[in-house]
Amino acid sequence: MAKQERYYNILKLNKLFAISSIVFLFLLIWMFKDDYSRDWKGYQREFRLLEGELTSNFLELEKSRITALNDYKVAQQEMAAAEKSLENKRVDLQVPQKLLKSLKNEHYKIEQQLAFAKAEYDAAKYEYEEAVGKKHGDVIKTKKRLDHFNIEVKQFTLTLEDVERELNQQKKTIQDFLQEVTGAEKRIGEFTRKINIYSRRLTNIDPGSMTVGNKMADFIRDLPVLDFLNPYYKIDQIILKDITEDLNFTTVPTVDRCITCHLGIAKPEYEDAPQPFKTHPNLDLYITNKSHHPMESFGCTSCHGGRGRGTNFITTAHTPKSEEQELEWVEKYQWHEMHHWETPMFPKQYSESGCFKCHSEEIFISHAEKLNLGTNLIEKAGCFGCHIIERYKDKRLVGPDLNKIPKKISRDWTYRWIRDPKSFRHNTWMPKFFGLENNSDPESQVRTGQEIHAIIHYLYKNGKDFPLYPIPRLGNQERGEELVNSLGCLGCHLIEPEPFEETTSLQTLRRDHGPNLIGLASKTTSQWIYNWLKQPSRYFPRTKMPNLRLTDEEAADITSYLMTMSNGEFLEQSIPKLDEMVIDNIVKSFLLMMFSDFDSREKLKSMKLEDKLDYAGEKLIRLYGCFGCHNIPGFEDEKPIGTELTEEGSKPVEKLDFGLLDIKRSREAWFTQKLKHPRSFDRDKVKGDYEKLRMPDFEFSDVEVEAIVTALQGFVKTSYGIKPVRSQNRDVHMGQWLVREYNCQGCHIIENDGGAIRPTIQDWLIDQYAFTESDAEGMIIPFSPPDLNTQGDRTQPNWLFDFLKNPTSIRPNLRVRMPTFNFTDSDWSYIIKYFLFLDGEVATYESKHSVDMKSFQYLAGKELSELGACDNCHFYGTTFPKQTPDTWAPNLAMTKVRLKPEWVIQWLKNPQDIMKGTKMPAPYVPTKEDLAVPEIRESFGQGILNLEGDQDAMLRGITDFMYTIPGKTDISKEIKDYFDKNGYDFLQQEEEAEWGEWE
Amino acid sequence: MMEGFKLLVNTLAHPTIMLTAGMLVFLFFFPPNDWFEKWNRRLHLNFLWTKKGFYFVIILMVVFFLIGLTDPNFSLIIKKPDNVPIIGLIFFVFIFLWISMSQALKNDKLIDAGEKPEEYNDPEDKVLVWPDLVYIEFIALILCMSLLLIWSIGLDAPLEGPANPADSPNPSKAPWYFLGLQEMLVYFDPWLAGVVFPSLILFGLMSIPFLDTNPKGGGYYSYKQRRLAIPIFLFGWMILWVALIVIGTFLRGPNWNFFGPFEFWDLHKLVPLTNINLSEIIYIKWFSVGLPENILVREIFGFLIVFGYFLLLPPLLAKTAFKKLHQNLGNFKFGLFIFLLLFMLSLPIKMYLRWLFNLKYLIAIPEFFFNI
Repeated sequence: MAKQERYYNILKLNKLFAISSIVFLFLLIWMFKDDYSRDWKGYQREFRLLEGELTSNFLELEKSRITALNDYKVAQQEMAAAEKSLENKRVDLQVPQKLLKSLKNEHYKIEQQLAFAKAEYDAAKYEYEEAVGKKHGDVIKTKKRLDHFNIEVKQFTLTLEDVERELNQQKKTIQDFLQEVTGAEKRIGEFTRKINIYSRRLTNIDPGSMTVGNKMADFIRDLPVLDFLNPYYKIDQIILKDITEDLNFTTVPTVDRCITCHLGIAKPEYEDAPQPFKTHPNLDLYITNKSHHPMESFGCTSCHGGRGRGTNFITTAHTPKSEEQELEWVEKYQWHEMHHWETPMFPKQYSESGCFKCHSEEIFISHAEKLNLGTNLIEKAGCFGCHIIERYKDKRLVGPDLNKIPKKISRDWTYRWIRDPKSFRHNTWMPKFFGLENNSDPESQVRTGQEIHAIIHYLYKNGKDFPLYPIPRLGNQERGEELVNSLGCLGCHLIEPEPFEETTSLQTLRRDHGPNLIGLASKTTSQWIYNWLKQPSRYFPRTKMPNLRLTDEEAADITSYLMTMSNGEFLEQSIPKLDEMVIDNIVKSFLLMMFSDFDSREKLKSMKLEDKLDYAGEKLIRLYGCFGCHNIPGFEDEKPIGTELTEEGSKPVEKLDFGLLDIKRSREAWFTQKLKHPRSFDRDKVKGDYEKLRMPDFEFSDVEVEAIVTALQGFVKTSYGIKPVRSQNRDVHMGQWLVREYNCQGCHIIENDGGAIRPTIQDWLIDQYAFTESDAEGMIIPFSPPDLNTQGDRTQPNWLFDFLKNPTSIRPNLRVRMPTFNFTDSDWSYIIKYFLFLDGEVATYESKHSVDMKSFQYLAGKELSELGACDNCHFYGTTFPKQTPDTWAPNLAMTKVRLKPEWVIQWLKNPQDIMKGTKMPAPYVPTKEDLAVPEIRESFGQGILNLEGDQDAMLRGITDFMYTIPGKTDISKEIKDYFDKNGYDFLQQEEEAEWGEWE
Repeated sequence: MMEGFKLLVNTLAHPTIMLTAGMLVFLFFFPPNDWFEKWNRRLHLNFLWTKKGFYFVIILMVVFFLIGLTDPNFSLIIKKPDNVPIIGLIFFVFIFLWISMSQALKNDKLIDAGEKPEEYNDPEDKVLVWPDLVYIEFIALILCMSLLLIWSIGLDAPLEGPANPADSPNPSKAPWYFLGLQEMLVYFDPWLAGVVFPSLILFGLMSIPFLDTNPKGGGYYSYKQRRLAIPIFLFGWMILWVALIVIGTFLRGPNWNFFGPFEFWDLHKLVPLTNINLSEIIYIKWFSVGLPENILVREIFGFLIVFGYFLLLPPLLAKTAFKKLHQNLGNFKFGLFIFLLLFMLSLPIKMYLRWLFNLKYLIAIPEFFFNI
């Protein structure tokens, strides 16, 4: 054959083909490897080892535990003995076993025959029915067939029953033979139950514990391509249909694959395991099925943020908590930010932000300390005065009313205060507007110095009149101090002249509710203080300060005491003179915003100094947004000046202006910077005087900043369909809000939190009545405002409503005074509903407790209360207790209108359960055993004896008796008269021994 | 030193400089007439189409990108998986251009010497489909697959976040093959840049076989024999398409601002952009009278210029520069040709008007959404 012509050299092409094919093959293998080597598989392998190790450890532990058990040894011996005795009966056992086998065969055979016969019967029935009903076919013939099979079925059924009976008989015989052995096995099984679980688990995970076949299967199931069937290493995911991700044009269910790597998250035994296998730190609240947030319903990213569909460290959008961690991650995981993912995981310190996605309607979220602190700080600092935040819509302004300011403070004081509030009161909430980094240059200082003049001019010119009543008598400052310390003022106010170190918490904020009462003599007049104390709402209609119903004398005393504190240094601060030139410039800057240069000049020329100050003052108040916190005449309907923060946590980072600062490009970094240095984004920027950033400096501490950032991060767009019960109930929400806003927890403990006043009670007892520290500690609870735990269960709503509207004396020897709040009926209803909600109560109206005064139960109650000498401490209407005031307790005649009977029974059972530290002892109620002793029996009356030791009935009896005690329910006046006459000297500590009676 | 180099590159990369230089240099590299060819020869510009020239340019480009990798800003751009094809495009455009030009020059020499071009084949000569053609195709297929595998293993797909109407990406870039169009949008009204120009590009490409009646240069590479066709095509392709894609990819940053390759893409960078219309220049700047009420009167100068450009220039050119071509093609074909050419040239013209006079539109009738 002739050599064919070729354009190319075929040998060369062959080589090229071979090489490129080998390269391609290599690349294919590489592709598979690249595709199959996933980070999460590594973690799963690692976890498998860890799990194996842990399980075999547990197995060993369990083994050694039970082998040490005596009962286990006995069971084993029993087993050995039983097997031995069975061995002897082996021959006897063979007969029934053989019989059983043949019977089983027989049973199977007949069962089959029956099944066939039944099928034939059904078919015959059909044919017969057809023949009769539709005239298809021969009626007689089909009838015959039907009968035939009918008989057959019956026959087989009978035979089968016979065989079954015999079969059971044989089974029983065999069982009897084996009885001993099975019994021993069962006993051993009780001990080895856990061991079996562990070993079974081990055979699944530990190749060392597997059979050869299983080992092979274990290898094959994870091979490429074959692993579509049932691989060991696979992605685990939770799909949440109710919690969706917003993709702007559509929503998709959340899919969380976190558990693919976080394999020990739900298992408590991995507490000390390394990440990512570590157990969740709070399994009681999250993850587990019995918690409020089971993993199956909430997943992970719904709280933590991040990208649930991701399966490696980076694509899941983990966020480092600090720069150090970032560096560590970069080195360890080549970590970088996940681009294009708007909701990266919250850094660890802000993880509570996630609670807001569902709990956004709540004022207090239990277990979210940082978040609560954050929202509380936002409320205290009044952020919503300048920034609209939906959840704080229409809330009262946080600062004092400035409508009647001329009658309260002097212009000079106001000037110094606006310039630097903290120089007067070191812990004031009023932030600093001037002398900050973008207005501290000499030029700005001159300008802002005059701006304050203009603002003050406006405030005083537009201030309204406030008639001050004269102080009727001279106050006694010592008595005043005692009143301040004892009446409850310190639940909301501090009196701390010098700055002090303190970590902010909800509790410290409660005592920071009202201003720190220092330097008042340098601030206002005694007349004003007197008038304020008498009726705060007269000066400031929406004040949070309640009315303490002070007498003229008390008010005068307190005024004298408050006027003893002054601040000379503050008064010495110099104030620049009014400079018309500078004012002109300020006015012109504002004029130029609306008018042309020419018009501005003309307008300025036509203005007198007074007009200029008017004009500039109004513009400046509007510029700085003073009306965001204070009521100022003329600014009643002004819009807030700041950015809306309702969804600030969802704001894309690109929309935040970082200015020229070189800080991390993240929301949390921006928020932190803004809160710490509110004007720093102006650094190095060229801006006009009135284009600069205006947010004032609150001088937040690091703890506070972190808490506020946590809350801000939580203000997000995403709100899931799921709403916690409390968030659904608007009334409860309102009640909770009022409790927070009016600082009820400054005095009371509600939801196991609050009672900030308590330490001051101790101080008061020590200072005023010479208690030793430990004695005073013991007296804190009886002399503090009551713990409102179980309040919803405790009191009748009607009574509570009346009480709150018009407080009366309940604990007669209590010095602390429940103030009168300027609330509407609906406000009080919200609060009562909130209390009812806390205890799971719904009824607002309840029928009266009816008592059968002829019953033994009632009689027993009466007898017991006499035995227990309730009247030693308790008032019975206007009948005073037998003992001295230090042990006085509430008026029992009030019980029928005040308390709920169910609660009284609970209370009598064990008062300490409900109110820890109460002086109320549980009444003695005899038991059946007690009554069996004749000597004891003698001491009881008919009522008790008839109940035959039924303690519950006896407690019901006491309760019944209490509801029949006659007398005045409100004895406030009697008590007041008593103390007015005798004073509180009963508390005076002179002899230690006197208190011995208490125990 | 390095900083100086980067500053120089950043400066040169500015489109005014880069495009101007590019257009000037272009004519010398691809001379359309004798005068340019004279300079081409004198400057030995054909060195580029020799093997040495090839290595020279390739090494230059590789070195440039290697230096670019050391720069944090530029490396961000070139490492972006989206932009990998553009870097490939830069290399491949040059490689294919080099192949055709070096071949063309070789053939020109052969033809000058009275020989046949290299591609000329004896009708007796033949190549078999199997194995010659199929075999090399198969090998090429395997190699292409290999390349794709390496690419897909090495770089993940450049996915972006879910589309969000409240947060559009900045810069918002078209796919790479449309970046030329997007660049045109800077200078023209959308109906021109988005509708008329793309249609005319397609129309123009379709009409090439109809307009190009030159019988020479069929089946083989030659520059001399197609001294008009090649420069015109390459001008439209290299300068007005490829260069615009490169600019759009590497040099357009946030807010569609210009950034040198080594410049940080600052979101807040501001450049003055105050452009005015021709009518405003004439009536307000020059005559210092207000704009006339009547739209036609107001825009009359724009209309004159546009009509003059499309109606007066063709006959003028037919009499002067393209006299021979006019005779060859006849009125209709010449008219079509010159219309397409003028349209093509209107793009750089408009760019220059913008850069030099801040001219927004020649004709601006926002009342009817008609702007040129």
